[in-house]
Order: sequence, then structure tokens, then C-alpha cells
Amino acid sequence: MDIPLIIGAVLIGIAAGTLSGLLGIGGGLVIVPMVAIALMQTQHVAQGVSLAVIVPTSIAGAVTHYRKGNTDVRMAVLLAIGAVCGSIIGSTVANQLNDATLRKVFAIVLVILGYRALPRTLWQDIRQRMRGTASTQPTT
Amino acid sequence: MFGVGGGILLVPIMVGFFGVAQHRAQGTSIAVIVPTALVGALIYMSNGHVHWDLAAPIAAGAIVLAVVSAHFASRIPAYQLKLIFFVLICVSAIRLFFA
Repeated sequence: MDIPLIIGAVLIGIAAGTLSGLLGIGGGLVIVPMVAIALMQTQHVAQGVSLAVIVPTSIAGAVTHYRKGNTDVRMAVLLAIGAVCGSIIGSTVANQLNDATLRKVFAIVLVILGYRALPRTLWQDIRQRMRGTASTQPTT
Repeated sequence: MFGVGGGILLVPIMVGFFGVAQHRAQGTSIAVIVPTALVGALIYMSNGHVHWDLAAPIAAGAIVLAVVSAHFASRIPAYQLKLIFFVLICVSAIRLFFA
């Protein structure tokens, strides 16, 4: 394995780790396309490498967040049971669907979440902040 | 399914539909990702799709920065984290749809 490839891999790790710790995500969204495109690997290898990297990275992030009191342990256990079952079902189903269809399904799910779930709470926060600076205004 | 942990779905669902605070949702999400990614990694490993010579240097960079930025995240206000998240979701959706 040559030096530029190792440097490229470490840089991908740095980008993925930053997003992972900052946002509580695995970092696979960065690792998969970067390994596939920049390091010229197949989609399957990229996804396998991504998952192998996410395991130690998420342990490091989870321990840090837990120490800071950011973890709801009971909810995490319940969600993990669902997520593990889902990932087993998902990988079985994924093998029977074609790649392009899967990507589009996932993209549509993201659009729905981005449109429905996030902005609502985001505007609430921003409005609250603005209200905070205009101190005389009563909270509703 | 896609070689991702699922955090991009978990965090907005917890925050948007269950009313969990952003920082708490993120801390919980990363804990859920651990077993999920482990199961996925084992499945890919049994098919020979994990190349350790690539995974090791990526993981080395990722672990260090994950700890540093997780410390940093506590000091960032929730609405800014949500904003970064929103941008990330938009970019991912566009990339997935047109890839």
C-alpha cells in the first residue's frame, strides 16, 4: 500500500470523525462516497470499510457523549434493538433490490425528514433566540 | 444497508417527532450506532468486503477527531447543530438522488 493512499485514507477519517463527533452520526455518509470515488474501490468494499470504521469511531464518540451526560441510556437500548433488527432485514432486502432504486428510496426518506422533522424545531429555536434578545417580550 | 450507521435518520426522527433535545438526541444516536454498525460490519466481513489496510488508517483519523469534536459539540448551541444537520441532509439527498 502506497503512501498517498494512506494519507488519503487518514484525511477521509479526519473528515468523517469530525462530523461523527459533532453530529452524533456514524460518518458513513462521508466514508462510503470518498472510499468509492477517491480511493477507487467498489461500492461493496466502500460500504464494508465504512462499517468497520464506524464501529471504533462510534464507540469513541459514544463514550465521550456519555461522560458529558448526553446519552439517554434507556432510549438508546430500545432504539438499538429496533435498529439491529432493521439492519439485518435491510441488508437482506437490499440484496434483492437494484442499487439505483435503493439510492432514490433513501434520498426520498431524507427529503421527507429534512422537510418535515428538522425545520420545525429549527425555526422554534431561532425564534426563541430572537425572543431572548428582545427581553421584554412575553413567551408564548 | 448502505454502509452507514443510521444516525442521519435517528437524530432528526428523535428531535422532530419525539421532541428530544438536539444534544441528547446526538449522544443517544451515536450509542445506537455502535451495535448497528457492528452487526453490519460482521455481515460484510463474512463476505470479504472489509479491507483492513484501508479501514485502519481511516479509523485512526476518525477516532481522534470523533472524541475532539464530541467535546466541541457540547459548546455549540442546538440551533447551529440543527443548521449543520439540515445542510448535511440536503447535500446527501441531492447526492443520492443524482448519483
